[in-house]
Amino acid sequence: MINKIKSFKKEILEPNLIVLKKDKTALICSIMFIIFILTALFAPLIAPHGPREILISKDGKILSYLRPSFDFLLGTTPLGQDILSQLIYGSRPALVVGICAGLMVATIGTLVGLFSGFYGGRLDNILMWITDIFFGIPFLPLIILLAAYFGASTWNIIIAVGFLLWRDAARPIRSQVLELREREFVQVAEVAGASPFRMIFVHIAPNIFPLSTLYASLSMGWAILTEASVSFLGLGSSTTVSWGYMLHEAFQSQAMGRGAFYWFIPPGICILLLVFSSFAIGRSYEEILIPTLRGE
Amino acid sequence: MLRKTKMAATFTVVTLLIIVVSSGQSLLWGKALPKERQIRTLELYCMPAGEDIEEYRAAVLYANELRKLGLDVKEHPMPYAVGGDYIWRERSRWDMTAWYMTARPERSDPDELLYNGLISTTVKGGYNFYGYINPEMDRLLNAQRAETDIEKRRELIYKIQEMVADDVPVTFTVHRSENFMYNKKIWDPNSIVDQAGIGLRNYWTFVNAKPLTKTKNMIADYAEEERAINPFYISGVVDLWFVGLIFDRLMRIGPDGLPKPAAAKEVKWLDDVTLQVILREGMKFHDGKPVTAEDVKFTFKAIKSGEAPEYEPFAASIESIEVLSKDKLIFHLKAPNVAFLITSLAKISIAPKHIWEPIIEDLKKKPTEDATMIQREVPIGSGPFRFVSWRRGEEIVLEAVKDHYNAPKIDRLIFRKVSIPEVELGQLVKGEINFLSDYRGDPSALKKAAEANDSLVWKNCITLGARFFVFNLRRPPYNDKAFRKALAYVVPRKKIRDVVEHGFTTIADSFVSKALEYWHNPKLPQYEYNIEKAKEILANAGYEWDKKGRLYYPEGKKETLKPAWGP
Amino acid sequence: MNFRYFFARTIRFILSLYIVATIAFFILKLAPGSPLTQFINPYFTIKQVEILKRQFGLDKPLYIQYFRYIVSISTLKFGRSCRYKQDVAGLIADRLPNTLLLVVPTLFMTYIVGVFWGMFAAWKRGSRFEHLSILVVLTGRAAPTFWVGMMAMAVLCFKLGWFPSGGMLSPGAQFHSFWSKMFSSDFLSHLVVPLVTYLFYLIGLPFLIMRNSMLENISKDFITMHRFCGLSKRKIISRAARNSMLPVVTVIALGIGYIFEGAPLIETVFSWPGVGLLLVDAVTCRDYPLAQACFLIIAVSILFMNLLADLLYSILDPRISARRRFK
Repeated sequence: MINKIKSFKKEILEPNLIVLKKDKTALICSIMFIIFILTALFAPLIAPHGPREILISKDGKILSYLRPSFDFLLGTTPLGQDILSQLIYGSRPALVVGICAGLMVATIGTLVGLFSGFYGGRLDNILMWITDIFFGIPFLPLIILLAAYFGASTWNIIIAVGFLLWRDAARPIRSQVLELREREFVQVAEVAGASPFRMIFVHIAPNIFPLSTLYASLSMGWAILTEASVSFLGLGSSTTVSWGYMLHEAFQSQAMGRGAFYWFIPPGICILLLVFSSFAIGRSYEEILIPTLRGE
Repeated sequence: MLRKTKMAATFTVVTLLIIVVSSGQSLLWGKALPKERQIRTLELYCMPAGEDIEEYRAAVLYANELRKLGLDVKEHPMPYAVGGDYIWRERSRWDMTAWYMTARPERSDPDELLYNGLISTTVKGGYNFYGYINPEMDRLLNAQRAETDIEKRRELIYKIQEMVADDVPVTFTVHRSENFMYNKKIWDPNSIVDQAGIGLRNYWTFVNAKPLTKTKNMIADYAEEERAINPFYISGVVDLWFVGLIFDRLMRIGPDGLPKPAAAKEVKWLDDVTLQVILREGMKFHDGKPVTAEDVKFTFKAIKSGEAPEYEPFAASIESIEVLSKDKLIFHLKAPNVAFLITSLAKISIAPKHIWEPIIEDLKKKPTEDATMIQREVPIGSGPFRFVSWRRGEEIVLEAVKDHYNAPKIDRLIFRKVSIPEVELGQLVKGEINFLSDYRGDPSALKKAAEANDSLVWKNCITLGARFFVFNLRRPPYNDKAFRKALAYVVPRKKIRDVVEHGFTTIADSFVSKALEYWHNPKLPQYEYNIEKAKEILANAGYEWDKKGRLYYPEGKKETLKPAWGP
Repeated sequence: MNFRYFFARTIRFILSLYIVATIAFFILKLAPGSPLTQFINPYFTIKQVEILKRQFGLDKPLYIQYFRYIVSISTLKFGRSCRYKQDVAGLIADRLPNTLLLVVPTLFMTYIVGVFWGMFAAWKRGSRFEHLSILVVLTGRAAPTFWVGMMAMAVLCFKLGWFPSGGMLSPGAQFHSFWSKMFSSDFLSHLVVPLVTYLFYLIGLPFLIMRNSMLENISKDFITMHRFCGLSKRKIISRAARNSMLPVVTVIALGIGYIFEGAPLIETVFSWPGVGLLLVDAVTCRDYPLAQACFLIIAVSILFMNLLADLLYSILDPRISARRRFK
């Protein structure tokens, strides 16, 4: 057991840490990511007000549509809600969606890729055909339909995203499994009588772990963008204040025409930074930008 | 002996102490209320911010106030296609909803605004979806329909409004207002008509507007997608404007909200169920054929035949129609209905029989199709404007009919689709449109523009429509009048007016808009925001609060329903 | 030419279409809500509800509705919209050109700019220009498209007033023909901001593929040629560029398909009257036939482009020597 931990540290953790130290971008992004997580965890302590709290002045008037001031660093919405507090609390749904969807995509995609690549034959054909069908389904339009079906809530977005995006992870993982299968150490294990289960999870899986984490981090970014897009279209939850929802409200309230830049710029920047950091943690920008082609 | 007394004394003292302390406890902290009397979580439905941001914000504000009364309230924003379906179909499963009525010229008669929403016959499948059953109200509603003396009718209408204010099946918030703008260098301000409860965009403005410039075209705008131009289909708010201009009607709602003869030169009640209609002479359809009583009879019969299901209720009160001559006909009604002139004759567009008769006959053979699906390429009517061209979702061009009895003073009337408020305003300022007729943005932008430019005239008009919160009277505690009254006292109307409608509207207190000065009852209780009074009403009715402030049913009642969950 | 592969692939395409259509049908039908709500008015009666249900085919049990649906789309009859009461095919045909007018120029510009940019970045390898380019392109991928659109709108349209803030044409603009419309300054001024917004998101793909394949080609040919044939740098670069284009070309087919995916967002932000916006509206109103048809159109274009890409790939495959391996 201790050996396993040691080897994990040596083979996986340390190389990544070294890489992080070398690559400045990855380092900065990791720090940013940690800051977001801390903000989400300690939101109630950091934010001056509740995210949906309607602020009322001493003489009973709602503090509506105020520009930034010392009391309200980012001003207020037309309904008198503090924009800064909303921004801080908005990190919660973003991270929840990102992390959960990312894990879901990585898990499903890895499992599909593992079984498909390892067993080959019929199972492989069927699984890959299913993957292809999912590739053909337009992502955003389906999310729009799913948001209508499940209703507007954060968990539904997570499920919808996880339900679709595993298709991107399955194929490359399958390719790598195919490659690994032919490698010596696996062949040796097979000859030594290891069960398929053992071969898959003990020998092959740890080696595709980096690829899985890559897709987990990419999916995290895609999930956050999707949640923001769906909320922006008005199909997301109105009761959870997410960054996408803030932008939706700003758009509906004609904030751009009004010059309320303090409202519609910060949420977008937060989304950008969080997604960027999750991509950068995945470390390989190539995979971010190139979709996998069929026939691989 | 002393020892025994001591013991007895101590015992008595201790017992007394225990009694005092325990009763004091209940005195101090109130008696523990049984959980079963706790009022369940109540749900308030509204449209989401993306569909109607004003309704959404009003609901959020109201939910906030309700919580101060000790209720656990959840707002449930749902798209209208979902929420509306739910409210309409599952009438016993929802608690409260936000709702509104839009302004249409026909709603200038209070019957339109009151009857279907308050009569008990529509409780099951009709507009009385909140379950208000009051036999006295039924009597009053039917009485006002038959009352030919207008002052006596007004008394009845006043009484109805009082009853609504007292029974509180719904509680009103604000009226909806509309904003218009035009350039007074282009349009003679005296020729722009402000119709009560409708605003500047109305039939009379389009027909009367006098251009002060050389070009005599009015370029107005609309903000919502138009779906059809069809005299037999109520397809949308915007569509009805076009239909109302291309097609003519027997009567029209005048600028004061009262019916005026239009295609009908004269309308006379021969007795309380017989109406004689004499048409104007010389009316022609846009293809040159004359308008006769046969066309009128055909139109109403087509509607009654079921090929125009949305218009059917408006012709429902007609028993039969008799054509006496080319321009004289008699309507026989099933029952007396004073509002018939507005609710029927001022709504139905006269369709040309020579064009539509073969179509209707053909449709009668097809059970799944009806007249609402027919979109004529060139709609032919007999209204003051002739159809010229239509590009869906972009523009519709109409031309004035100069020998119409209400001949417009402009040459052409062009409507352009502009769905973005900033663009609309920009276009008006630049002169690309010269009448801002459907502005759905922030009125303060219009105010600023009018202040910056002297020749721009901005008008804010209170409409016939009102926003209100609806209580489902089928579900306790809403079946308790005291409870409803208390809830009416915590509606933050001023906040809603200031924040939600940017202050450019007025507080509502009745289905009948304040814009209808003749019919609106000025002495209605205002239910001004007063949380103490609300608590007092509840306390007097027996409701109680626990130490956490949560509201409980009065003694003897308990919570029998589960929280209404969504669809 | 592998006919068996062609045939099998085409069959898969058709099957996938039916599966996608089925998914679209069930998701919408099982979703709460109904298209009848917009007919609610004070005079709405139970009888009217029944009539409308019959018209929309909603009175039949679900499996019959499904069967009818599958049969009708197989014969390319998409039914009638609940709201407009007109044939769905006609409504989509009205709007589809608008989406194409947005998407095709965007695709065009993305690939032209992306290819040249990728080329320069490869040439200036290791420079700050290259690092900055990669950063910009990644930001394009990480930033929410609609937000970039909002910012662009705020700056370019409202603050500076250079471009109109939405829609496809100025209201009232008249054109003689489709082509005069496409090339009019009015249309182009409306096109610029949405195009640039969408381009910012899409440019990463062609940029990176071009850059990577250029790097591969430059490192091989550049040194060899330069040494032995004394060819000018420029000639070598241009030859390398031509060779690098091949992977880009195969990716274009995919790009065309996927470009439809982001259309709903862009069209919503800029009120562009296209099929994407129609989809969002139709879903909100539960206008089943219209929503299903919009969804299908988008899915079909993606699936079809994927089919083309696969077929193209299988043809070009043996001929490409410096074939890019995508890991």
